[in-house]
Amino acid sequence: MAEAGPAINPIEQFELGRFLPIHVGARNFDVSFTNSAIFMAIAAGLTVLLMAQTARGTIGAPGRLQSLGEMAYEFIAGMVKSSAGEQGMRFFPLVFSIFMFILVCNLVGIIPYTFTPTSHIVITAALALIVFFLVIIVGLMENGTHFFKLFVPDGANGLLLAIVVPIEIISFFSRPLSHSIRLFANMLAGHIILNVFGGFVAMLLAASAALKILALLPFVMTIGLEALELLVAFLQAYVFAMLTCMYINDALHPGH
Amino acid sequence: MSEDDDLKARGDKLAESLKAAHAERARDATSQVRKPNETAAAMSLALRAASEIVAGVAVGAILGWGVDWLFHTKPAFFIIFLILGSAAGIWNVIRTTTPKGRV
Repeated sequence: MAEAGPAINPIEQFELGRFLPIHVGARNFDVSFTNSAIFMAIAAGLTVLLMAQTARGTIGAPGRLQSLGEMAYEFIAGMVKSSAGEQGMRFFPLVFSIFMFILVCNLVGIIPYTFTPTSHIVITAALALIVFFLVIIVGLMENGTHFFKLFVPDGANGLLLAIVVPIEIISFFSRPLSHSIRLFANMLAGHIILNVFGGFVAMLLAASAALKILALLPFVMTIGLEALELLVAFLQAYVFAMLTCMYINDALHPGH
Repeated sequence: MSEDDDLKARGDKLAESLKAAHAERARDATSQVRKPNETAAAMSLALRAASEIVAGVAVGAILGWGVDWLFHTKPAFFIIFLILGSAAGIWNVIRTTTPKGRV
């Protein structure tokens, strides 16, 4: 590899850059507007544009954008109703915002040269913790101490309770972890793999003429992976929203 | 004679439940075709299972380590909570993969 082509660093794409450096307070707290923030703003903006277009609604046959917005609404409304019940519809705005934010972030991130905020655990953990604390607060407000029945399965007694209750509590606290790590890890891994295979293409093209033809193989693979990433982008947003609904359902109906 | 009657009754019952099963299977077959949502749900289930078990074990380990650090009981609670965490992880997977109403 003496005459290796361009150096490929698959982690580079996740580096944060200060787009608009801002420091506040006596301790120079760094709240700079980063590239991650730009793409989060883009995701939120695109969602607002789409939904504004949908809400403006024309009478008669809806346009493409409008039916897209209506599809998104019906998809999430159906999900909330089926997994959190009619009462869960109070939390529809939250679930819808989370779903659209993650989906648009993921989809925009697939485009080359963009940045994927959801590939940073800070973002996914913040979203997961919002849901986690919402469940605790709503559960306590709705059910009072009855909420803790979530940790006590029916029909268990004595020694069994001593084992099952800690397990249920650990299971409860593992939720925000699995919730955030799943999304972040999937996006991170997907983008690294894409970058590595893209890197193979560049390296083979830079190599001797005989090897140039081989560059076709990773190139085909990259196209396939790009399609897979498109699926993952949607699925991860779906899973995140779905689990949010199920956790809200637990908060509303603790005794199973 | 009564044995024959008994046999006949059992045969009728079997025929009835067979018919019901056939009807259910036919309904399932038609619904499978027009539900893209089902595919997404199934794939999301597959994606969830792995992270659920990892999260259970990790949270158990972190909690145990924290309790040990608080009370200076170095490996004791780490071991206990690691075992409980593994159980919680497996329980998470069982719960997510079992159809609703059966756990």
